[in-house]
Amino acid sequence: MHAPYRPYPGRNGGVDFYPLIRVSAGKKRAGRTRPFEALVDSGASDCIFHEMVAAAIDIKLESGSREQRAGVGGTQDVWVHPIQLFVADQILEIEAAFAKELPIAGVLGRSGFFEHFRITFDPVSDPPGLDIERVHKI
Amino acid sequence: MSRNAQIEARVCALSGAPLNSWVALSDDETQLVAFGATYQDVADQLDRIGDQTSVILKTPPSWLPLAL
Repeated sequence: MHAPYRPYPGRNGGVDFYPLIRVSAGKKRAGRTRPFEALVDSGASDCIFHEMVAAAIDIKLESGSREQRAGVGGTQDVWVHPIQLFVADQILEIEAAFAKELPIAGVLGRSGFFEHFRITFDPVSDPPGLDIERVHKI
Repeated sequence: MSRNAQIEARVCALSGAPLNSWVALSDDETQLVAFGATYQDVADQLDRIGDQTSVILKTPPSWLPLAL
């Protein structure tokens, strides 16, 4: 799958491009969210989503395993739940963290996302983009 | 629509959307279709208009460069 970087409004009327892709989150027997954009972030240890994504699939946030995650903005509590992550035609069973404060809908990190794909970032092409290829480990 | 026009339209749509909110963009990402305070607000609006193809985003508190 090839996905062009998605443009966001930038500083001083400019445009910033980010490796955002469409995903859905789901839970067995509880349906799935509509497609939403999440950031492909190799610096993130795992996949983190906004708490409203949890609510959309009937996950009671604080019933999950409570952990903490450290980011540029500091440390915050997260609650970890098993979910299904839908990426194009792939369905992944992952452990996802949910946070009450997140500036975007979701972040796709190493555990739960990068471990399943070979990902090539190409920020220098026009348009910039990323290629995502599923890797099935034996 | 050219790629540059699509980029311009998406950025224009997002620039006009409320910050720190949930929004839906049309499938081609050129038009703001719905917005609300929560994911569910936006999903409910899409349900009401029978929209099955829009993509949902959360807008950040400001359009500063992201550093997560």
